[in-house]
Amino acid sequence: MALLRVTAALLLVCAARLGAQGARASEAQVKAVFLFNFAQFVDWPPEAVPDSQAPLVIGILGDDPFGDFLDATVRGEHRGARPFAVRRFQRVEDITRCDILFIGRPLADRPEEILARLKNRPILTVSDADQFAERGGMIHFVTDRSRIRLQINPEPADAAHLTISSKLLRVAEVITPSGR
Amino acid sequence: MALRDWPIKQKMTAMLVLISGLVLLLTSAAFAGYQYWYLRQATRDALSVRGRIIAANSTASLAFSNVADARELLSALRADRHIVAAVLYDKGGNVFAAYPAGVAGDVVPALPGPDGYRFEGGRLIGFQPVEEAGSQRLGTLYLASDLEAIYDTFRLSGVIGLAVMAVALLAAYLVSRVLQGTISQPILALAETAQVVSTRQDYSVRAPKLGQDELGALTDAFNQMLGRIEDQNRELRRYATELEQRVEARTHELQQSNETLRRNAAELLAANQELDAFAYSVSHDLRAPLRSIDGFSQILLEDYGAQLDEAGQDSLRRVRTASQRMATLIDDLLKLFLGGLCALFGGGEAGHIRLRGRTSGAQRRVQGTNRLGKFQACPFILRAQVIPPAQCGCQHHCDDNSHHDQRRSMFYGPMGGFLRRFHGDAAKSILFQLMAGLCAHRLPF
Repeated sequence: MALLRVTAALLLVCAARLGAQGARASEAQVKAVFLFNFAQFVDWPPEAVPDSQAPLVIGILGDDPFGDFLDATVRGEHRGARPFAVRRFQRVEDITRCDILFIGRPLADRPEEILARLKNRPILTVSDADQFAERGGMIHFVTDRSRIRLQINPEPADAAHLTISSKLLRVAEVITPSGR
Repeated sequence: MALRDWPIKQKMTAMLVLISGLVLLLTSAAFAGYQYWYLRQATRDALSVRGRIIAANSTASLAFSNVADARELLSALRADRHIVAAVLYDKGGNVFAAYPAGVAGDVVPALPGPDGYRFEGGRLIGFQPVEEAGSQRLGTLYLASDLEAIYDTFRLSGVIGLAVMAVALLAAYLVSRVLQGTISQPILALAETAQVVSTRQDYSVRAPKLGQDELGALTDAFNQMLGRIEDQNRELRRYATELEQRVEARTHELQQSNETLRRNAAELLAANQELDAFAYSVSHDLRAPLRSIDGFSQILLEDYGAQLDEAGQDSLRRVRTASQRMATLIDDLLKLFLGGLCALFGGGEAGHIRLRGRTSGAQRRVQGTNRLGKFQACPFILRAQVIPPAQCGCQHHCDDNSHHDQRRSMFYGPMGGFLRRFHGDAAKSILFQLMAGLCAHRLPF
């Protein structure tokens, strides 16, 4: 049922935005789905989960490129017993409770400061800013010939005690700035 | 040749081989059936496990749309030559990646089917859901495998089974040829002994005993039966010999008895002749003159007594007394003779002559005329007895009722042997005179 809803929302959003935004809208939709899928392949430390039914929060810092699509994508979905929730933040100081954080522009252009503020917090940081993984981010959306690839820097994830599934690592490009 | 006519050795060997073959066949059939079922289950389980592994590793590829990674995953299936096709569908049911590249459309379903594995169209196919634990379904994995693995294993098992069956049957044949002797040899020995007994009539032969089992007991019983038959034959021969000896002895005794009887008959004939002479002499030579003397003396006394004086009458009386005393003496002599005669003829009571009559009618007439009573009244002597015709000793006149009156009936019986030789008036006269002489009565014949 949830699958049907996600599929229907995807189709509706795609139909609504196809004419206005074209290929860009599709890219955002894909990224939104990827954000949702990250939750399937990342494990958070137990101390980061207040209770077993606490919502799994996907946060958006800065501009929101997904519109309502991300909300529609996660609506009604669960990871185990945890429902999904989408929250939007304008400042990094506003982030109190978050599990996956997409850093949008223009803040993504200066990710070091934000990442420094979020250092060692169990938050999976994701962005499509240039060289986000090399600059200390965890997952970087790379658009390559209309395909979205992933670059993953496991070091900050390890520092934040996040466990990224090897399946996710297999489909992504692993970036190790320190050369380890 | 019909099975029932086979030699027992061949029968037993054939039975053992057939039983072994049947057991092997049933066992092989059961094993083949189980193996076929097991191979299908194992193949389905193996494909299911393989599908779950690939599906579990395909989640990220589907989740993050990495077709290359999905193809690489599916290409690992080339290690299994029986995999005909493998397809990853995304959650929309579209083909995401397929193996082998360019696989024919008739092998790849356009849309994923119901989850699960099943045999269909000569293939084993399966639709495996692709989902990360605890999350939404990401897509579907389709796997299609041919059944050559099953058929190959089945063919190999069949060849092995046939080889094992051939070897087992050969071993069963060789073993049965050795083991059947334990049963067939005693039976063959019994049959051979029975054949010898039947053809030669020789009951002294014995069947060899080859064991202590039931066939051994049968051999013992057979030999005991032959022994009893042999003993009985011996006894029969001995009884036959004794019987021949007894018959011969008895025949000799009979011949001696016949000789004695012939001698007795000759003696009797001589005695009869003497008796004839004696009776004739008594009746005619002695009694007739006396009777005349007595009779005429009585006539004289009665008719001419008045003309005689006392001395004449006394003389006549003396004559009569003397004649009567003489008659008494003759009677005593005849009585003595008759006693010996009766003892000679009838073996009965002395002085008792048993005369046989012919019919009950004759007896009735005798009693009616009281003639027989006169014989019965005779003190020493004759008793006439009338008996039924069936017991009649008549040899001459029984076929003529007119001649069989009471008088003739008196000619039969023990006396008949003597009297029978005289017929008609001669016999009547002899008997009359005999009776008249013996009794004081005149018989009205």
